Amino acid sequence: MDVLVAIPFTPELLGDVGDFDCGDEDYQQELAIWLQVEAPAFLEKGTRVWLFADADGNLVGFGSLGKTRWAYPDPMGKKRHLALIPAVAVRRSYWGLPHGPPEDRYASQILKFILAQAQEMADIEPVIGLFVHPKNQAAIRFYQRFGFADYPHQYVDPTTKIAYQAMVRPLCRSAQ
Amino acid sequence: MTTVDKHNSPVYRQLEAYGESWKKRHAEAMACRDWEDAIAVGINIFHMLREREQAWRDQVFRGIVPFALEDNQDHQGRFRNWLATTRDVLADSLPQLESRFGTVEGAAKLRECAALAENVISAWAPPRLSMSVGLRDMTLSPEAANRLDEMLEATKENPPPRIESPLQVKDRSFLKRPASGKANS
Repeated sequence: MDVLVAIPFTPELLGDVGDFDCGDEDYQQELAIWLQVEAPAFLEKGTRVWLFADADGNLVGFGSLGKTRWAYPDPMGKKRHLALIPAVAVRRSYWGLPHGPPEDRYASQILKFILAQAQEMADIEPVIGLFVHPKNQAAIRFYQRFGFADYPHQYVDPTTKIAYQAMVRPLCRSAQ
Repeated sequence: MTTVDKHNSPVYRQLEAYGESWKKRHAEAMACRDWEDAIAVGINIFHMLREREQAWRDQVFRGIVPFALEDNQDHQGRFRNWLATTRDVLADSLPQLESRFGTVEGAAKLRECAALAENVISAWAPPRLSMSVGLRDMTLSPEAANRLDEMLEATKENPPPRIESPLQVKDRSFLKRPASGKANS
């Protein structure tokens, strides 16, 4: 198996991601912009971002892990803290690679790494969530393979009116 | 929509009082301890301004309040006001005090805060709404809240499998860079 290497992203690496290409669809271009422009702001807010490289050091993809809180609709204002994947993508030239079992593919390795990182904080944030663009059906199927369930919650962006679909997955706590 | 309310803002009033106190004290012959109190107030106000700014940035990032140009100018203006007063203190009053009393408590800290304020102003960038919708503020429907509670309850009986990742973490020197300084495609 061709195992990736994770490299913590810092603003000094912005110059190395300028040509990051993860597809032509709007939601794919948004992910590239997220990395090239927005990532430093997310780092400041406590989100962790990694670049992933193959054994030769070639950039393959990126992933991120943040924290958020969802408010319950009760009058006491209860909030649930959870881990959240703000953005994750594989460069177009590495899609479907390496050949072999799907669980060894780069996309799977990146997601497993992020889940393992989130697991370390599962006593505080026992659930991990993400939002998927409704057109990105391939991503929905991919996340389902890793235990993310459809969840009856959407977020409608007030500007674009796009209804993003939430998916959630419980994490293994240290005591379990 | 803006969150600015200068007249009712305690921070704004303290900022004004900070500026006034130095003008008044400059004219009077006061004991070193009184000057040190004024310096401590200046340092505390600076930290308060930073906390308020960070809280506002977080609210804009999470979509709790919309970005407003007036808020942006107000927060930036507070730092400018504080720095204008502090620059005068550092250039005029403080050197006099130090030559008169020797060490003045809080002086080094005030100089540090002034340097930080310079950075805050020169590197100022307006906050933006999080591009990742998942990090925005949101309230669950009753159905979604119940589903989340049920999921967590179910994991007590049937915990999810532990995820292991074989990936190693290395520093950025591992990333291959062509001569142009950009990563390979």
